[in-house]
Amino acid sequence: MKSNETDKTVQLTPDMFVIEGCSTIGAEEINRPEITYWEDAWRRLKKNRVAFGALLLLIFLLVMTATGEYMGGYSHEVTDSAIRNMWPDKTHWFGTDELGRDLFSRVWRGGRVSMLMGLLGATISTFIGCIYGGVAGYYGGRTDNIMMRIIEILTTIPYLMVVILISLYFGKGIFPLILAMTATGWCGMARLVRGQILQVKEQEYVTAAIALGAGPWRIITRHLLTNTLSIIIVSITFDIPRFIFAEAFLSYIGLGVQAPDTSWGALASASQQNLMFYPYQLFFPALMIALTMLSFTLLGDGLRDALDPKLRQ
Amino acid sequence: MLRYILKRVGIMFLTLFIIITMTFFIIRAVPGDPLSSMARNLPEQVKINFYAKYGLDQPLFVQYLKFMKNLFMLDLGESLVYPGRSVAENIKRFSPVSARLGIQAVIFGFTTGVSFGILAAFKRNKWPDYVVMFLAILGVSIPGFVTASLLQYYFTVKIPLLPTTGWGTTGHTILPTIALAFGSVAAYARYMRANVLDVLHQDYILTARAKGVPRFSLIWRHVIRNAILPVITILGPQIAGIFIGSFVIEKIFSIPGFGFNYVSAIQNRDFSMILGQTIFFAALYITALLVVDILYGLVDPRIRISGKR
Repeated sequence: MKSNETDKTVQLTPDMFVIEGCSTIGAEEINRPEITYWEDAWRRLKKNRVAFGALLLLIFLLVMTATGEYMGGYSHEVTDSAIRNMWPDKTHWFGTDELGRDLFSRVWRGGRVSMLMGLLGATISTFIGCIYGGVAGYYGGRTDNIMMRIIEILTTIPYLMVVILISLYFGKGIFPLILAMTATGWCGMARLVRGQILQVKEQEYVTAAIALGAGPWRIITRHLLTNTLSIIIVSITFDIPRFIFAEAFLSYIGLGVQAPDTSWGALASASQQNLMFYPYQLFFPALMIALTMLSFTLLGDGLRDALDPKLRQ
Repeated sequence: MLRYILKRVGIMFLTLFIIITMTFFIIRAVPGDPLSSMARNLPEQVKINFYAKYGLDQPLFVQYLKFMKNLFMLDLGESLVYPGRSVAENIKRFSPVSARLGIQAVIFGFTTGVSFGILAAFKRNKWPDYVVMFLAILGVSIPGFVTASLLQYYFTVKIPLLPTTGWGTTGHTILPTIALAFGSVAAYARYMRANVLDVLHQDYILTARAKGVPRFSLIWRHVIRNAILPVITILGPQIAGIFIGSFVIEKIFSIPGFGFNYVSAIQNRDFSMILGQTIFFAALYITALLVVDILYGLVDPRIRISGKR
């Protein structure tokens, strides 16, 4: 029965088949140019219109805080009693304050202090946080346990207390302020880095790297750090506005930057007495704080999407 | 669960002890004489009497022990700037005002934020969603003192509906409450929206729908109940934010509360007042965080079983 059937069917041999239309040559070849992780992230960020707009706005704000002070042609500290509390006009673009100082210069000058605080604060707390969290995560076990208990205690100390005590002790000024803000500000970053390292450490590719004979240095730099970096970058973009906010708040209750230097928070605070009559004095510094916060937040959201391959749709 | 609570309470007391000790020594180490903020040229004997009265002539460690002993009996000492005014009395007098404002702000922030979040999630990509998300972005990018100033400007100057500053009637509490809660409304709304969207994609919602659970009961019992749970985790930081925010808000609206008093103590360099109020504030703050954590443990069975997060 079976042999009968095979007889009936046609014998099929490989030489009877011909490949039509496509050849196997080059099927394995990569046609697109190879791009690195960062190029890919950059491409993604550019596609995200909101985040890219936020980036442009941020660059604009940074350039203005660096150079805006000199654009209006007025000094930020020269007072002129003839032009006190002038509404914005052609010569004083943002108006003048109650001592007749040009607000355009003052807003950008203050912005420089605010931005500096944000950037320095975030840099310092990232640095400390990465080392602390990295050590805790990498060694794990007892070390990790003790280090995390310390963080637990530090984070329950009300942040404002720390700042007030430090500024009472060291006096007021930019550096005591940064010290005060970073004193417990690094804890969040340390937690984040630790969590990420703990997670990455257990991944199969790390085990594979160990099995292939990679040394600890290579594992730390190639696997642990690179996989944590994107999360750190995103966290920095959220940290910077947090520090700017904190600085504004402290300047507002009189613990921040001291005259003649100024910051957005200090400017907003100074405008408080005149709010009912000269609301523009609050408007400009408040607008700048809001724009900075907004652009950092939106950029942070965009970066998170761009940098995290797991979130890709 | 009981072990977890005991452990947390233990850590709380340890933290509090560290804060008290740290605050005490930092305040004592602050450069400058407590007398310098008062009259300039006092006779030598007056100064000596002053130091003796407040025990400032004794060695630092003796002062510390004495302070701790008094603290145990809830005696926080006396103001350096206003003689005869006890720190504890001061706290007792000013706290209820702040407490009312704070509780109102927490309740307002939570209910409004959560309802906005739910609304935005169910009307996803329609105008209510955009409005809520726009408000949420405003809420996180505008500092509390700006919101407060704007509210004050519009609702008391432009449209005189409510009293500008001060304290007394319910009308006085409306603007400060909104200003205080504005940031947290945004945070709750964002978080709640994400949670609801997340829950809507869960399998149990599909199951419930397949069983024919009515729409209202589906939303209420299956979606909202599950989505609201994680929101409790951000309740702690939000309450902390309201604690700190009250300093500025009370100053702007001239509300005779704890924060207002605290800021003026700092400005007057009234060291014993700062010390006492710092301790009180820290204790309250830590307790609030602890209560939120325990609350979360009680409502979320997953934490109850494992004993820790």
